[in-house]
Amino acid sequence: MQGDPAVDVRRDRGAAGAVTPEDVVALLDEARRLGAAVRTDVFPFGEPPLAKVDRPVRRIDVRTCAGVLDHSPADLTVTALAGTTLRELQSALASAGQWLAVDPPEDLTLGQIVARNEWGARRTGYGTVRDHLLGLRFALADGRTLRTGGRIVKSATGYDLHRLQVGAMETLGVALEATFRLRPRPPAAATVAIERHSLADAHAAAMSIRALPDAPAALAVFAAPGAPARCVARYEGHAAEVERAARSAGGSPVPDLLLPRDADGALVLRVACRPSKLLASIDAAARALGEPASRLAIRAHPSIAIADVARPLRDGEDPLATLRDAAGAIPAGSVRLRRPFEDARPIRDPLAERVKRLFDPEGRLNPGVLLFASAS
Amino acid sequence: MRSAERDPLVLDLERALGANGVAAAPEHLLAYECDGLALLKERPRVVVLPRSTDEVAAAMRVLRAHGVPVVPRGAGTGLSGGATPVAGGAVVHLARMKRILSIDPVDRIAHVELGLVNADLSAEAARHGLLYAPDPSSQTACTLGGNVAENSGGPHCFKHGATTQHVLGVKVVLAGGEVVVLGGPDPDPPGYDLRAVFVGSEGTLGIATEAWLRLVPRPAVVETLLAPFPSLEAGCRAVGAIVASGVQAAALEMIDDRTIAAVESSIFAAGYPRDAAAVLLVELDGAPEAVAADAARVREICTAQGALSLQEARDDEERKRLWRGRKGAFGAMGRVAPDLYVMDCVVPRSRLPETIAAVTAIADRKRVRCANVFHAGDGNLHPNISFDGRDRDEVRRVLEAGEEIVRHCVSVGGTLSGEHGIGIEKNDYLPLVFAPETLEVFVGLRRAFDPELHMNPCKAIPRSMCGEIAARPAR
Repeated sequence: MQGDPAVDVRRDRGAAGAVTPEDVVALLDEARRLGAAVRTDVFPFGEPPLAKVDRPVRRIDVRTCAGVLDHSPADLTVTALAGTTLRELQSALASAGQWLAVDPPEDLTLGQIVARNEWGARRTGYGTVRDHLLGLRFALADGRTLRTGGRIVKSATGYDLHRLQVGAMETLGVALEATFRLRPRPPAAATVAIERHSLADAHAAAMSIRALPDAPAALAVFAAPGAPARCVARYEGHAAEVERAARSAGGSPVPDLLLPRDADGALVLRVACRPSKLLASIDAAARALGEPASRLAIRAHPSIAIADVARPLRDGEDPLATLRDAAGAIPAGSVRLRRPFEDARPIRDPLAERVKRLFDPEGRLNPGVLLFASAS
Repeated sequence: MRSAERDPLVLDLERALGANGVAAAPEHLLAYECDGLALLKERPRVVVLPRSTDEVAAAMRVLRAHGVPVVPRGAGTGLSGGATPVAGGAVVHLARMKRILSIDPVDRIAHVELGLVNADLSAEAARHGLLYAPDPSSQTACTLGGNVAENSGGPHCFKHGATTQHVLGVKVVLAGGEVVVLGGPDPDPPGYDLRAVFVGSEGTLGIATEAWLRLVPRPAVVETLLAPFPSLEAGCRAVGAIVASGVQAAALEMIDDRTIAAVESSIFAAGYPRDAAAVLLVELDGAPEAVAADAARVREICTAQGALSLQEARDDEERKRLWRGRKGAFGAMGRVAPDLYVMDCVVPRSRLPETIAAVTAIADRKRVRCANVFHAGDGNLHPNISFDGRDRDEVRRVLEAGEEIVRHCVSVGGTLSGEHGIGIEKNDYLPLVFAPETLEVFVGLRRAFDPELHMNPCKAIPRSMCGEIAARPAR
């Protein structure tokens, strides 16, 4: 984005000087005066084709608004600026033997992780960022800043506006700083892999592991054309505990989960449902993709009950049309598009629309994202 | 009474719900004058006892047509006045909606009506080897609807999280009778996570009638340790050292000498040593190796911090006994004085020792009888002030001490409530922790859910911000 005149507050490391939360607020205030839309950096994996916005657009890109403000090891809390990457945060916490117990890609910023509700395989054992978010300072579309929650691990004080921001794609506010609850780093880990002929068999192995008394930190199943399906389970905790748990899970020890990444040029659908419905949802997504499950790349988390189902994007294919087919076919839960871009489908929810108007009455924050059906 | 003389609101509600779905006789209304915050009382105009979400919706339509404010109520065990009626208002009491609609042991999800008592869900979940983790001290009486409204905690929330982390979705009747589902049994539903603001909204956004709740597997092993200390400060230091050591306890509960004395003289007697200044109750759960290693570490730390002895529960019976004292602490305080003000504040855990000292100093200065029992791991204090409500000077001193304690907690980086909510107990303290802009957005959020602000008016926002609601004629 170097040289892009629309980028007013830059995330690139090369840009001169760091930006402060006050810079972000000043930009929002300027955008308000200009009647400009504001686009924040919520699509690190590729922006969707944007709805036409008939007003000027200001971009906010806040990666240099970064740094740990306060880490209190005795309280197991940390407060950091929203542009801090997860990698920077975890590395700052490591010396105290602590971590923020989420594992999405570490180059994402805390603001992106909150806005996107981004997670990794260890969601199975530790939950999502919503479970660890204690407080948030964020700016509204008009530049007013709010703070809810706090640097305490428990609160029944005021409405949880901070948790409302999780997954809201910065359409309700722009994160400035966040406070998280931390956990001690587990002293040991062990991972095992089990190979099976089919995805269904690997999934069955995973469900058997899930029913054992030891709760895995991560439990995933993946399959790709031409290779056996795999179930991987990772245990974290005391050495004796994880060794025994890994033994009882069966399979062969492996160094790590080694989940396959999405291939370039892939079309990826994500299904989310109850654990008991996951296989049926994967099959439905496969049908919508026009391939048997054996010819797709599948990465499933049986305990979370979310799976990504992928094949190469076809020439001239409209990913949104494929998504619509899948949405009409899955038996439970939801389906969304992850690659080649994320869907920003209209949501018909008058209550959510009223909430949106409260935070952003002119619809200027990330227009076109989490669009409301009756919004103009 | 002839119908011509009867309240037209009551008649309309009876038409919608049948006569036994409505209570308006003074002797019935008396029972609803307050919740667990007995300091403040108000008689409702009418009480509605719906049996289904449809009946709640029907009642809400009638109440809106009459312009009557609505106070939802579970078991009335709340401690911040969230279920205290408002003058001229209706109480919607969910006691009859207590069915477990389903428990799915594979999905580990319970679908329940929210008049269900917390412990009744735990008992049913246990049959499937599962557990509903939030366990407020009142769990044998309080309803899950009240837990959702207050984002309730409990001793085991230290490890497992408070109610908001266990609510997958809620079915809510809005003020006008519209029924919405926020979240749901499937993960990551599209759109905003409105359940995040609903949980803990203290009945101000709507009435939750059903929920999908997350159940967790019961731990393989549980170990409960009791460590008496020669001072409360030493106990607090032990808590800090346990947390800093990387031990992930399921619960870390502190009980002071005044509470020990009350408990040990009551039916909740747990065998706590009466000569200790404080006892620390530590529970560890999980895999056997982890629990054994952590228990050894906890023993070592407690000894190093001056524990007078160490006692382990040898079986479930002993474990229940050790917990009986902790969970019965509030009830046992009834021995000390006729009335009890159970406070609830949170501070960063590292500020516990100085905060406890400050609470003691404030209580001494105000000449009030204050005992402490608290979730030490969470930094969640419960100063319990015993008093006689007939003594107006003592009541004044109790309220003054309460305010000073709250202000102290906020001054060290804490907040007003960890698990009891704001209600009408602490609404005027909200400006201590929230800027005016934030409070304005809180009111805006309420209007998004409830444009006429009929739901639990004047609760959970400062009285200065609810003038138009307060001005509503009482009858």
